[in-house]
Amino acid sequence: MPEIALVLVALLFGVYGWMSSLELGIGLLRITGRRGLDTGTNRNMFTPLWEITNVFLVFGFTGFVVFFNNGLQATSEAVFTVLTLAMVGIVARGCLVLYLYYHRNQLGWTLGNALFVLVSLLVPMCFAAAGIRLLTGAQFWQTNTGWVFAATALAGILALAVSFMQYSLSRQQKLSNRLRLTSTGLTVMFAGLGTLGLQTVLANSTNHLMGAPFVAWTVLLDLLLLFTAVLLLTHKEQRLWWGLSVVAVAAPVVWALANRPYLLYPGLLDTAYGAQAYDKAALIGLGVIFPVILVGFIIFVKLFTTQPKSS
Amino acid sequence: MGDSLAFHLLFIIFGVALPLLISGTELYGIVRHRPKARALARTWSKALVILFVVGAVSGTVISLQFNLFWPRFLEFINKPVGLAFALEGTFFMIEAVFLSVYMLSWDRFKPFYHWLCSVPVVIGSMGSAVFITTVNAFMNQPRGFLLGQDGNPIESNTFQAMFNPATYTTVVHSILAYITACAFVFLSIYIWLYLKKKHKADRPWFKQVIVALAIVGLVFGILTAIVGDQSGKYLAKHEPYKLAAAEGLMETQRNAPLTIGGIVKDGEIKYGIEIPSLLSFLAANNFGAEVKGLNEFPEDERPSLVVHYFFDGMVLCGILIVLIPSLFLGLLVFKKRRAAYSKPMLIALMSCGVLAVFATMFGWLLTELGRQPYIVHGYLKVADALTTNQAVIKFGFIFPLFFLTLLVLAVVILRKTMNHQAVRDVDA
Repeated sequence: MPEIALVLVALLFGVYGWMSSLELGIGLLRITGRRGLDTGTNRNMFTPLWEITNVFLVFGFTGFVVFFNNGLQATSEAVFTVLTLAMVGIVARGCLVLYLYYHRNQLGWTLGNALFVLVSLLVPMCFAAAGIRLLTGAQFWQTNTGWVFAATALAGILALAVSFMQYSLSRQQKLSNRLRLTSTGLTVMFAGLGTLGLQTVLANSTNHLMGAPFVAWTVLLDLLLLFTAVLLLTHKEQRLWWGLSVVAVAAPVVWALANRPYLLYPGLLDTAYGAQAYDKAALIGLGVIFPVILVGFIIFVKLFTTQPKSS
Repeated sequence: MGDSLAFHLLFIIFGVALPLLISGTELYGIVRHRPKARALARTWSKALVILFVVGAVSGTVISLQFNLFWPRFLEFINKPVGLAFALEGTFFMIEAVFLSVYMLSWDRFKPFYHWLCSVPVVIGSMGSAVFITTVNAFMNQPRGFLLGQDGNPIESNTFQAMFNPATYTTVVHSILAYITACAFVFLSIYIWLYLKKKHKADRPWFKQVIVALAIVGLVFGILTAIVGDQSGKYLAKHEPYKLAAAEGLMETQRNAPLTIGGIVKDGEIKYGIEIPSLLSFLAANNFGAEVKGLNEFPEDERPSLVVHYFFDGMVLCGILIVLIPSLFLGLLVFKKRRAAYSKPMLIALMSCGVLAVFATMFGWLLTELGRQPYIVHGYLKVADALTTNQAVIKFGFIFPLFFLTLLVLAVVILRKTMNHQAVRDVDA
């Protein structure tokens, strides 16, 4: 049961990471807006998407609190610094979302747009840093493994954001070669760091993370590279976003499983788990309600990606 | 963290109640073929998104703050009522996802199918409010677990913990109060618009909205008062220390008086007006009933008498928000339209928005401060539940500044969003 709960919570954080990278892409689109993107599309980007992103985060935290309540004290002390920074970022992001909504036609290099991009990068990176703390037992800046993990996360977030820009612009036939190159370059950098970089540092430190999930991770990234190559050959690079999305959502799940039998290394997962009294009821309830949420989410994605240009 | 919670509560009021008002208004527009009502629902739904964004931001921060600042509290409370947290999160997710669908599908779905999208939004908002308030009820009346040697709950019975004696009154009273406050805040906005000369052309339909909101506010205000009375009886039976502190009742006595007003001085309430036996009646429907005083509880476990101010404030605001709209609607019933729409009457009616929000805030403060020094009554004290990390104090000052910025931005954007162009377009 702890493993099922772990996968569920990690999946929620994965969706959050994916959606916040998408927001970063929207922020980058606003900055580059004068060079191709029409204001109508930018206006449509400001939809209720903004609160859905946060809801996944709240849901992820709720899941963590509900299932792993025995490990809360230790976890909160371990990730206190980075998550406090994330909190500041979330509130600042909220202020900026409202500000940009008000000035939604102001595209290009404005202070508001630049700050929004910065905060949209800062918040998911803070959560990545918290994840690294759970995996390695140290803050990311304290170990080589931590640095490689952080660089991989940064490359992944940027690759996802830029590939979303590529996807959006290609739908309006406004895709530039420079953007194509950046998107492919970042994806290759992400895959390289995620496989070769991590394999090197993990092997040298005989880390507990080397196991079947790590092999799955390597295969996943190799498939991403293959997918990228096929898209390049067939001139369908705009679809790169879909491949990166799968990796982004899967990443926290794979690494949470790789961290087993620990939750906050070297603290044990089973010791942190404290939902024995109600876990079955919670999971059955989720199983019943999840299809409703999924249907809603699919309709939302469909409506969001097929918006009329000026509504 | 109180600043975050108070700020969040301000937006919870709308997050919980506004979907219901919007859904009702849209359905009315569809059933009675009133396009203006649908256009009004659309305007309100835009406002809901802004309010929801702000609420989600403060909610996310609160969720993180609970994790970081109150880990001991969460460790304790999750074993018995963790399921309530999980359900709250799930319903919140339903609300958020379908609110997005609802907003993106205006003009793209047929009216009835579009209205159907609002149903999960209402269910989500109500469901999340019910379950998070259940956690608060548990904090007042912890049940359904045994205490282990380490001071943590063991062998929990989640359903007994969630459906404790406090659940009914806490949940129903809160949700009714949110709906009342939301209706009255919107009523205040429309009266304010009505009084502005530049909206003279809109006055006929503003009047309809004002009357409708006054009726909704009054009906829910009366229901809140009825459940509030039950809440008082519940307090007398299950949380007598809170009632005693709210009324400054130092000694257990029969024919206990109700103290109105006064000031807290030297550990008692002075200069208040005492109405003989009324507290006994409110507590047990019997003028001679015995009401427990603070002398029954150890000195270090008594809540501060400052809750008397909140109790009086809540009751006073509650009475006014029932009386003023009653007077307004009464004048309309007796065809005194001129008096009903006179400036003093409308200003009095406009004050109901502020009064209703204050009543909700006072109620929350009464519940939280009336439980002190405990965070989970009888089991976990506030001082023991807080993290030992000193950085909390350093970071604590940052959030009020951000929240203030958020509030200002939200108000500015709401003013821009609620321009009612969609309603005017119906006439055009």
